[in-house]
Amino acid sequence: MPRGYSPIPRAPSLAAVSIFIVLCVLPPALMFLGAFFPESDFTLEKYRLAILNSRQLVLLGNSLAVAGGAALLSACLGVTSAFIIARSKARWIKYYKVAALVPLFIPPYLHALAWVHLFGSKGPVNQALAPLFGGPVFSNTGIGLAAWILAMAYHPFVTVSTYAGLRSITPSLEDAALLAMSPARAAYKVIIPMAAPYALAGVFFTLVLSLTNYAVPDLCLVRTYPVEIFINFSSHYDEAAAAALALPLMAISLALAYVIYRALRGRPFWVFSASGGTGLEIGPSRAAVLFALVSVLLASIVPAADLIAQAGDPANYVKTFKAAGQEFLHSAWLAVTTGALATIPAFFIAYYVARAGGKASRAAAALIYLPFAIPATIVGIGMIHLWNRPGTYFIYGGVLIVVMAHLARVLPFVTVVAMAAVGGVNPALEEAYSILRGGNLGRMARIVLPLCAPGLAAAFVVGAALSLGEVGATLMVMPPGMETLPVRIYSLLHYGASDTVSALGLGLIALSVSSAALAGAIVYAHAKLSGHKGLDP
Amino acid sequence: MQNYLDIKDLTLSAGGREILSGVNLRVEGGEMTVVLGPSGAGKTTLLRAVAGLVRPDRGTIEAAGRVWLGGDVWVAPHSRRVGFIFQDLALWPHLTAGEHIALAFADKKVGREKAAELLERFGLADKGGRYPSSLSGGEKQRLALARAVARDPEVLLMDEPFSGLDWRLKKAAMQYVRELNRDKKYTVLLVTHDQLEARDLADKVAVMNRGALLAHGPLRDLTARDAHPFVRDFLAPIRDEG
Repeated sequence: MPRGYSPIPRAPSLAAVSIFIVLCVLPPALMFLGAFFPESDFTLEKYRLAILNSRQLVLLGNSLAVAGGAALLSACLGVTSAFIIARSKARWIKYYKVAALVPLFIPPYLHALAWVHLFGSKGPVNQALAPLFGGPVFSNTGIGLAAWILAMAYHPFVTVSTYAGLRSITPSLEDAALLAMSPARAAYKVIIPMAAPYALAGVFFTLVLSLTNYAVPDLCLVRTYPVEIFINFSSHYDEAAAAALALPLMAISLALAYVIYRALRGRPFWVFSASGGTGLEIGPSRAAVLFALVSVLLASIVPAADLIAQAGDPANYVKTFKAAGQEFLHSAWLAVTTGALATIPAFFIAYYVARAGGKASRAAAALIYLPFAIPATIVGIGMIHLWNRPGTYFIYGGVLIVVMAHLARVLPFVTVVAMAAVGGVNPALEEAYSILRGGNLGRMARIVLPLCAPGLAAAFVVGAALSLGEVGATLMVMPPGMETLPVRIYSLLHYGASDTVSALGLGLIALSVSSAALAGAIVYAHAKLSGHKGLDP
Repeated sequence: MQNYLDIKDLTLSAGGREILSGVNLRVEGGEMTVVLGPSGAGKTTLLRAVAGLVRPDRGTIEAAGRVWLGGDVWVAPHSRRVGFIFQDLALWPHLTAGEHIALAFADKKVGREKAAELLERFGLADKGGRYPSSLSGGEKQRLALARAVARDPEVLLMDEPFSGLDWRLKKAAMQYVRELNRDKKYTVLLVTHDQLEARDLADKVAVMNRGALLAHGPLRDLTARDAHPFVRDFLAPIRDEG
């Protein structure tokens, strides 16, 4: 029997999945598998010594407290924010919709830099409150502050996913509920349960990202697994101990990644266009305005304003930017290269997951969530472990290893966004082309890519923005003579050069926001020209 | 050569369930056969199998003397020369009405000429530069029809093409389809669950249930006393109308 019609371009899909495995799965997998080979330094004994000690309980407790606190706070902020965006018809919502996403373009360590300064014993907050309380009120270290900072940085993930859930609800279901019960009860009984899997996916996402974050707990002086892994590796170059330390963290993260995967049942947690969910509306509300203002203030304006205040006079910017010209250049090309290179395989993987169906498709979808569990430092160590050998020095010795490490870090995120983009394309639109003209190339070029363009532009921006903020893996693999902006910022942080660090941080934010604005402008122009709906939200 | 469509022993299973169970159906050239049946009867799958969008496990499909499926032969959808109207019309939101038709032709000049001709024929002459989002329901329907016949297909396949239309638009659209069938002698296989559509359009009616084709013939034969009980029951609304 002949093979029949299949929309999947087999060779590019296979290549994309292979790239994903080689970059994101293989380095840490080989590192951990090394424990089972006696000739390796990664012996099971090392794992036993590193994992089974009392310090592990402290690390586990700290890691879970920081990540749990961040997730809880993110849930409160993100769900409320999404509800206001999805259900309010006020004029200011279109501005709030954009403002609510801005924290994603401020790397978490820059959020941390601002808040650590603000809550420092001689920082502006304690200085202002000292006359009233007779001393410093807040501490700029500890689990609470780390959780707060991570929530400020990551809560937009919950906003975006909950918004997707709220927009996916069929309006008639809400209308039916509103006819039978009060709006509050309809929200509690119908709307919230239907949007809950999406909101949970966002919360779990925040939890996993917070668990694997290294920079924020480090700056808040909290010993978590990622911090311990970094210290172990950079002070003793003990790959085996670092890998062993990562195991409990990865086990927790993997379990959470599985929960995300199960909760969504293959649905994307981000939508680019949706028409549902307009039954229950929020009328003009002072509480909504207040919430929006306070959340934007705390998550975007306060950190940015503090960095501006710390950066000092304009002459300092000129001096700092001149001195860091190379780092800007490295970060900019690395971000563009990473964003572009990640979007291509991400698109083909997303397409395969959306169209192939069956067990293979489900396995590919599960594979995408796997690397979320791997901390940046382990990605770096895994890369060194795999590529630092005689035959592959051309990769390890140059910029290629940095590009690969960045790709390993951003590819899973970019793929998730691409999945949402591809998932929004009605398969019948492709079938109509297949009947009329046939050919994978034409179908992709004339139908699929133009329809996915806004989503793929968003995927590119996510890739570029994450690459711009990447520190953990870059620190591990960076070759001599090359430094990125985040790495320079991170190095200077420990020397207390706050004015230079703040100026560089603002430069980095400007770079991220302008890349997002550029992509937004392209999407807007595309939507105008093509006459169909663009990116939403 | 008459554009007949001959389907033999078409069988397709998915998820452990038989969606099509040995379907045999012959549609003569220029004839309009309406496939009727309740939801889940396998009507759409039959249409998709004829178009080549799904792969049957067994069976043959032959049209106008050419084998589309059977043995080692499997002809790709675009080489089958079928026109397909999807239930949701599947109009491309990023292409104009003119581009919907021109896309069917590799030669851009030919595409433009053909688009102008077809848009004129379907009463869309002044809508060539418009996107589907700015067309009315009836205009969208006609654009879908124009696209389906752009390459002068041997067989026209229609999946519940009137389901989203109000009574007035539905009547006009059905008139279009009838005229197309009469003037161009297209062989039409139209799927619906609406018995009244079948009564108004069909030369012959095929009734399906649970993947099996239960009866096929002129409507009056299927409503006769000796017809299959399910068929008689399903066609009761039009039989009772007289």
